Amino acid sequence: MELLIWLIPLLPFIGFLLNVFVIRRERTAGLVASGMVAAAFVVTLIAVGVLASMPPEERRIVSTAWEWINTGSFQVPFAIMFDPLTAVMALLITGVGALIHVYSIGYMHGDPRVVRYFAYLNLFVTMMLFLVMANNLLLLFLGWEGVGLCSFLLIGFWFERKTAGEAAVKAFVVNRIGDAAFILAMLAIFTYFGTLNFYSEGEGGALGFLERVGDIAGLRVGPNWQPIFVSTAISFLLLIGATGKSAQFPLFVWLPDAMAGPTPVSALIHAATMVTGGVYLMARTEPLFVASFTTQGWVTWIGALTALMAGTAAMAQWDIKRVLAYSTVSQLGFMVAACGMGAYVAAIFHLLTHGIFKALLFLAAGSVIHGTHDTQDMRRMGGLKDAMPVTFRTYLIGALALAGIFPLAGFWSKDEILAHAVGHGHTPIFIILFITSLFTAFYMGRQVALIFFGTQRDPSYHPHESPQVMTVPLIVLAVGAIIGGAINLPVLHWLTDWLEPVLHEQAGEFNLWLALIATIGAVGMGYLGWWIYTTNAAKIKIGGKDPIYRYSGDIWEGMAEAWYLDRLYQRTVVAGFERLSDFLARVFDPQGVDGLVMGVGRFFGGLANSLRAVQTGYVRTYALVFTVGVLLVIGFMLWIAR
Amino acid sequence: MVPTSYYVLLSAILFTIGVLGVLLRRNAIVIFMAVELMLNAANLALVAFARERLGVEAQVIVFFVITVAAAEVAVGLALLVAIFRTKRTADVDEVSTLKG
Amino acid sequence: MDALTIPPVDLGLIAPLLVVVTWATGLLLVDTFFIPVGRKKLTGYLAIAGLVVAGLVGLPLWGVSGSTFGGMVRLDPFALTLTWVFLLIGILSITMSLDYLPRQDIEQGEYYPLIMFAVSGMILLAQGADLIVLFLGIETLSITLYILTGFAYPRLTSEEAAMKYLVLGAFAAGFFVYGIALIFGATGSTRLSEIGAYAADRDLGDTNLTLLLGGAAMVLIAFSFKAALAPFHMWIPDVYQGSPTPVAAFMSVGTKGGALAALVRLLFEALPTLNAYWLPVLAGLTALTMVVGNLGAIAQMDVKRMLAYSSIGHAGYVMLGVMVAGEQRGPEAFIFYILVYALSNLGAFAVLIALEHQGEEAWQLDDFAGLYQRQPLLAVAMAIFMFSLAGVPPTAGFMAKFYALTAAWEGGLPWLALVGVLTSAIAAFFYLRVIIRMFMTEPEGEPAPELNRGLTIDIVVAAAGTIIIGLIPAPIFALVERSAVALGG
Repeated sequence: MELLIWLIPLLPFIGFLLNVFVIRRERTAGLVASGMVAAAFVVTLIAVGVLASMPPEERRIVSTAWEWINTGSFQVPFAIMFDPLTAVMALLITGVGALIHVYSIGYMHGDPRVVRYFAYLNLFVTMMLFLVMANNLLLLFLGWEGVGLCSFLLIGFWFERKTAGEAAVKAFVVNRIGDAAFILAMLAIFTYFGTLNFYSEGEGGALGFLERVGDIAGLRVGPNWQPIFVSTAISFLLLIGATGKSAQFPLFVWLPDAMAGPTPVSALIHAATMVTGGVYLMARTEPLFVASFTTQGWVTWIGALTALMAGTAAMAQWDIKRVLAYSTVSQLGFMVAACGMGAYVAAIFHLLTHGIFKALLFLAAGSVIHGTHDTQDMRRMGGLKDAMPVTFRTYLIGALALAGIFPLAGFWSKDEILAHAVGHGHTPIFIILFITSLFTAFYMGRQVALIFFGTQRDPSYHPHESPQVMTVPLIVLAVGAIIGGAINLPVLHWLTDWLEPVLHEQAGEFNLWLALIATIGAVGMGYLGWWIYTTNAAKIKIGGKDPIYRYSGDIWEGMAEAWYLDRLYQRTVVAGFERLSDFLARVFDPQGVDGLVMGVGRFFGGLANSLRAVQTGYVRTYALVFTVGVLLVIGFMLWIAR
Repeated sequence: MVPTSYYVLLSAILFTIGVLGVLLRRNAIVIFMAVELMLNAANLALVAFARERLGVEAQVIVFFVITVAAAEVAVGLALLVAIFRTKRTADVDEVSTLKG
Repeated sequence: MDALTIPPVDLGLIAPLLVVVTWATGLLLVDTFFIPVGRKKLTGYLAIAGLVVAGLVGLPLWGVSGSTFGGMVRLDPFALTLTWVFLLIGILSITMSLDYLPRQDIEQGEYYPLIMFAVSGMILLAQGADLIVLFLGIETLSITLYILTGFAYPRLTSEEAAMKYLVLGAFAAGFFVYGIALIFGATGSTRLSEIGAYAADRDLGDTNLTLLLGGAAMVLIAFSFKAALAPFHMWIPDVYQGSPTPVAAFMSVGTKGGALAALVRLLFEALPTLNAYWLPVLAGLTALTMVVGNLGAIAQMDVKRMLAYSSIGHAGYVMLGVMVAGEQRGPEAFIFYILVYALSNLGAFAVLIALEHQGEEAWQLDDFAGLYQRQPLLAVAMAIFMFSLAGVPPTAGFMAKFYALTAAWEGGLPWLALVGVLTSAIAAFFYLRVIIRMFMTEPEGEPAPELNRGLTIDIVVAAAGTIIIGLIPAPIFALVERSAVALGG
């Protein structure tokens, strides 16, 4: 059994090694990469079967490969585990991952660097599996950094396009902020618990920190005038880490740009798996978050705010992938808000269903892009439903699922979050999320209308349906999007029971009225979106304004720019840094900050240039700086000796 | 007998002159001389303290310092000759191509 | 005054050092009289053999603790482990020089004995328990390095680098000697343990305290200069850039290791009671070092110079361990970091050598463009080194940095750990830039880099070490742990 769970991350890793060192041909690369992930999926299924056969309290398999760090008081094993929460994540990663690998064979056909693409993709799956299977924070961090790295490499995969390189660096920079917080959280956890293990290793082992959260109850740190609870400090640091990875306010700006990568990458990394890493982290370290009332409040509001902002932004996009990107940010906001309200099962449930139908939407969008010869602007589409029947139908299913139409997957998971908000008195949060879900239906209706209905607005290309290697994964995912909700139906609540040993949650009440209202609202708004953009189809011009713009004006602009958050950063942070850096460095050369597109980078570049200005090349200058240092050091030491 | 503090004060003055010499002079040879002054100021202090403390170690150090200083200057002068051959100057400010 | 007596001498305790020094001296003669011009590689092989023998001689000394020469020289597992690390650094540096020197037309036999002398200086620094010995160690290391820096004579950059290094090095030596004089004046001894006992036992009195503090400050500054702590770091970028690449590689890890090993002893044997004075100073210098080193590297387009700045930044991370060496985790973190940094950095420099052409400066960032297409394995190795230096798991660099941060955090310097985390977040920029060039740009029609046997061995050893120590660091931790126990504060 222990060997079995090691196979899960190792199979894609073998695929990675083969693709790096052995394989040179495009066809073999795709087959091997897909085969390895599919095999990992099968192994995961078997492991889940084994896990299910055990009594619920004992459902955790831990396997230590070797002691990673082992010095006196500091011990970290290189160990993975398999428990119900890991199991569902691994199923999603390998299952959806395998389909996306297969799809990529068709999508990436003919690209000059396909072998490298599949190597990166396999490495990503390996790292993502380590992230969810780690039994300690340090190994989780290995996966965390690993997926970030693969994401970086894959966003910039088409590096000939300038935007790709810039987007990759932007994603990397934003994620660095989260990573720094993550490391600090690890240091703090180690200081207070003396271990980085989540749970004890087998019988009689020392307890993990998640089992000893009681130890820090009431403990405070910080200055005397404003001490904060240790639990708040730690969970808040973890929250910052999660907001970076899961693209939450105020760090979500990188995700829409990350769409510069190949579309299957957007589906796998930036919709289904990596971006949910933050949600997984919060669910895994749930006892720490629950211990801090303050942090939970922040989590809830950050999630709800992100959901609303990104939901409105998604309504006003013209780029087919940016709609989906903002939609992803918005849905991640739902999950984060659910975590904040303590509805962890609902968050994971939504994570799973969203992983399926959002992957479906991205892949179908990829199929559209593929069939329209790299068109991404929806103003140049229209009327594609006859030319691409399979893509159209699967897209429609994905859109309905995302909009939350009964009885598709999205309906059940979103309803559970909303029901929890109502049931536990989070009324303002409920209102925000409910409005957002209406927006969701609206922008999906709009998107379907723009792409598939009306007449083709740009006659310069001949749309065609994608090959079977791409459509079959779409059909499989569409089936998943239809029946995915079954895993946690109101009365049966299988998922809640399955996760009970980890998250200790009771099934929520099903709110029939809410379900009815939500469905009617979603259908209405979806229809409205569809209706507006089919009846006004003639008014949509390539490069022109949106029909609604006439009535809403500037508000629409604000939505299109995601409420100017990106531009706000440009105007304030970046501009401020620029002014400061100009001041700092009289000899500011753009060469020196090559590749650092971010304003933060410019700032540091400016600082760096001012350092260069001191480095004059004159040895006497160096001696002078040395002497000043000497005077400061001696002066300081004698001053405190006074 | 002259108190030790006088010697130490003198050595401190010499040391400061040495430091200023390194900072202010541009000729490499003068800079070496200034460094020698710093080292010898330290030697003076060592000997003075050794007399006060009646310890022999400090006087031993002085010999080591003299030896090391000689080695350093030997290397330094050789370098200077080499640089003079290539660049025709002993001005340290003119040897400043590496910077930034 | 006491009559001079010759203290008992146990040469066994300095056996590795003795082997290195005598071997180097012998080799100098052998090279002059028996090895013909053009066959100087043989000298290199003999030098490697000498370093290996010295390492083997050290094996039976494991676990031995003792001092000799009247307590001026100490052998303990701490010194012995560092000795091995230094020997390894020497071996790797010589290996990468074997083909570099003839390619640059600067092959001279004495190069190899000089490296050995420098290694002996480093060992002396690790073993020294007396300020005189530390002074000798630091000067042995420095004077040989002045010569090695100018070894590419008559290339002006090399001469310039040597000149700058020498002027500033001599300047720092002046402070060192004056500091010794003041410390001796305050305590009447140069023996580290006696200074420590003197400072702890008695009420020093105002004059003596002032003398001791002033002396300690000057000695600390001299070590800070060697270890490249800001603001005494200014020589580093110029000297590294100008000196022959293997020498820069050797210097970047060697001087740091030697100087900081001595600093650990100085701080925790001679000055532990003055903790309240030096800790804020060193903590401040360390923070400044991390900021200056990592910021300075951002603006560099020349990879060799970038690595020079990065080595300043790494001096800061090593210092995290040094400052809390009173705790168990401190010296552990220090030795571990030095070893890991040596592997990653020497590897990175070896890749630079592979890309270097005679006379030209072929380390511009653009020369790395599309390296993956030209030499996939070289690019992968370089990526490993860059990730390790940036501290990305699962490389050894991450382990080392994480351990150093933990040590500082636990040792009561959490704010410094915070600075470390933030600066290493910045640091990722410039390491990543090299990787972007290698993997995400098209090659610009450069000729294929030259890879020969010595370099290949170096790069493979360093890359394998970096990955293996990152994944299975436990044996190294075990070694380091036992070396640190013996220090005992």
